[in-house]
Amino acid sequence: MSRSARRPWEAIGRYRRYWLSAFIILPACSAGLVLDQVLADRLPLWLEIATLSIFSLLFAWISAGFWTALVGFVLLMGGRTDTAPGSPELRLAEPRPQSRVAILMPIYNEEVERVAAGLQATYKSLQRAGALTHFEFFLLSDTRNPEIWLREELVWSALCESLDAFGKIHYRRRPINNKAKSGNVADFCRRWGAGYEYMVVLDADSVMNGETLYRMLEMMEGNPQVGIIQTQPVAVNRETLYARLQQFAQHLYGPIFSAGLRFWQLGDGHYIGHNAILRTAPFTEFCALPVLPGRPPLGGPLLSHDFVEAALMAKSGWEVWFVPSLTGSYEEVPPTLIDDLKRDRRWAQGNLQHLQLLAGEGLRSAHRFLFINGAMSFLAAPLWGLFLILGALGSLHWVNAASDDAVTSFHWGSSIDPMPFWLFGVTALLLLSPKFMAVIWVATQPGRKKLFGGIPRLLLSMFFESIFSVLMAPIRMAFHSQFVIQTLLGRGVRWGAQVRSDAETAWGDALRYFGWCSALGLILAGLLYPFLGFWHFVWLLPILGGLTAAVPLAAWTSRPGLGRWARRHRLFVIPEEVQVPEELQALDTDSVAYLPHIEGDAFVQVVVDPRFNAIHTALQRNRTGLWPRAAKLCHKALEEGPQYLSNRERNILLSDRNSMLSLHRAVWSMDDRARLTHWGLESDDQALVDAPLRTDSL
Amino acid sequence: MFKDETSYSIHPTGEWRTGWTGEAMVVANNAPVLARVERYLARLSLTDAQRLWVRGQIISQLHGIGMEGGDLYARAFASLHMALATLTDGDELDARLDLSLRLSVGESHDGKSSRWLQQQMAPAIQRRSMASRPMNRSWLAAAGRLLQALFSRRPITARSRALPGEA
Repeated sequence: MSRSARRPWEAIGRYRRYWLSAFIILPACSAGLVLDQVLADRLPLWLEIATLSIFSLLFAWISAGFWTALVGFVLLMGGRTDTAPGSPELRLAEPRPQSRVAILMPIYNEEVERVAAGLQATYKSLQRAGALTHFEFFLLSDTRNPEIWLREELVWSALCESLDAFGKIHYRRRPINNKAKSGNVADFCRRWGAGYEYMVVLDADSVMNGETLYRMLEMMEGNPQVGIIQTQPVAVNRETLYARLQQFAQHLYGPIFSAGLRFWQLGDGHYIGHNAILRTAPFTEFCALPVLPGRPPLGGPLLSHDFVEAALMAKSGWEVWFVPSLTGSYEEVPPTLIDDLKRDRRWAQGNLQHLQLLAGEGLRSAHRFLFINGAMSFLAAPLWGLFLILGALGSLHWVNAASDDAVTSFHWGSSIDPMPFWLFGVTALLLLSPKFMAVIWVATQPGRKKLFGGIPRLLLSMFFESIFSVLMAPIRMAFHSQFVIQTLLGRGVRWGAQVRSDAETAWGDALRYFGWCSALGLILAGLLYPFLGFWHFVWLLPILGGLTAAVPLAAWTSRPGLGRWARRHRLFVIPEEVQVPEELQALDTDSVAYLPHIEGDAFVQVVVDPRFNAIHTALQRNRTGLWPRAAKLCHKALEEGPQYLSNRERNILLSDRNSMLSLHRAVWSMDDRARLTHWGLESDDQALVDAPLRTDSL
Repeated sequence: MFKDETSYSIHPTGEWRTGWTGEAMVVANNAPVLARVERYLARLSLTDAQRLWVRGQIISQLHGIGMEGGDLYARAFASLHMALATLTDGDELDARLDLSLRLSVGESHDGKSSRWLQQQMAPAIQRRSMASRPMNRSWLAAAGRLLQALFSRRPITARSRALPGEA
């Protein structure tokens, strides 16, 4: 059997990608040539070449997005999703009884109640779908904070108890968390991967519909050549204005981009690290991540693992499909601009690392393109910045070279802009037309416009979202440029927990993070205006305006109150807010209100409380190698009090069964009132002394 | 105190007292001890019968013991834990665990609830290796491969996976 007969989509995909390449390269070259006609003989050669090169590259970059959106728009308007031969949607098979799926939820210092709520919602949804027999859950903790670790354990046991899910929901905490999330998943594969044919990887804030999970399993069962099926998670549940803008944009514009992306990718799709199902055996065999030569940030362990895992899976002959038609896959977006940029900082470093894999032997060209695309997401920022600087230099050169006195005066008609209007128009078309395509698609779908608050509100929301996007773009550009420069200068980023609650940005924080942007905007405006004159300055107004407004933008958009106000006025409404899916309703904080809460110091509670101590101690093993040190730490805790133990020392005691038992017994057997207060028992004892019991009364 | 590689224990007063042998001492008033025991028992979901029985066991153990201070507390809680262990016919930890998870004390999982809980937390491990494979990332080699593909007119293809049933 020939390869093409086995993988019929390959020839189709290659043909489509040739067209995409032509659509990207030819217009970019044409636009560059036209601009050259304008710039030729008016700028010095070095400036002309540099400007044209960067312009063509950026034009190609934005046109790739445009063509993807256009193809997606055409597909969606035709009322069909792309199902090329070999698509996994075409061949579903009922899961075999022995098919087992592990749902992995790697967590790291997360808000435990939110994780529990998400897991519970997914669990119950699977239960309703009648598919629970095939699925088991693994909470894979990399948490280092002992307080959170103890909460995780307690919540795990309470969840299992309440859902009657002992043996269905597992919990594992890695004592050493090397290679972050990818290392956590790899640790699962090494320990338990052999027992599960498939694994679904979730994020700590992911929620998935049970029927969707079952459909993914059916696709995997029906397509033994598929290694990964990726869903398109949609952003939900946030209340800050910033997050609601992101949610709205993702819901409105996301479908056409997703459909277009699927059209180009076919079986060479991408994997975003969560809300996807993976075939465990090939993942374990082929997808262990290489460690790059050199030191971090560009060398060392890969920070951004997902794209590389997809590339390694495809390199080994397995197909990776992106299936945007799978609904019921949810995630949450960062609540504020600061949190979004912190995430971007990690992504920037990770995506730049991918460039070191570009020449990797055996990688498929589609994945090499994804590596370039990912890196360009961040490299585009300094390129835009450079282009603007070159543009400003060009304008300066132009006006200085002019013989008349039009440097500062503005006369409609007499002062001619150096940038041809039509080129500006084409660029604006490429950037903005996907927004209108998305609105047209929504407007033509029966019932869908109501899910966005109706056509007038949808248009108004799109207008405001576009304004915010334009204002945010230069801030992102400034920060992304900073991230790229920092990475290239060798300044790495540390793995940190993500913010997953609607915490607003204080003015002080906004000033600390974005003050330099606002200052830069004001200084540039002050410097450039006298040189450029009004007309040339107007062109820079969106950029300088966005930079200058960085502090208030960051502060105001982080306000949950403003987000709620917008929702009340049906602005930035998303379908999940109009028709709330059952699994999202289950995320309500009341749904996990029954979970036990730890008041005060969790370490003290786990030592003192006989029930909590029993649960935690039963889950530990005797670590005899630690005993000499643990014994000293126990004495330290008893003599000086638990507050004098560092987190590291607490972790040592907490991870040893004998230490926890000994401490528990020792604390309850203390008679020193001063020491008892450290363990919260003094009040108990005092009360008892005040009202002493007699042995003969028992 | 750490004694050897097989076990260690600690004394509630912090330092190991020289000559602490549990010799008879006068107990002036052991009511606070019993009151603390009572508070401990209140944190466990014992039935009335179990509570009464455990109390009785502790009192009988303390009866006639001439201790005071930390030694008396230690003795009382040792008795308490012994009584709890007797409830499960095994380990006091299992008894506390049964009570915490609202299981029938001593009757669930052959009285080995802590082992059972560990099994629920993590299924049996089936080890499998997962190591990254070597990958030639040289740009020179990549250029060579590209030239070879261009001139030999053979497309660069990824190794195709053998499907089940194929040779």
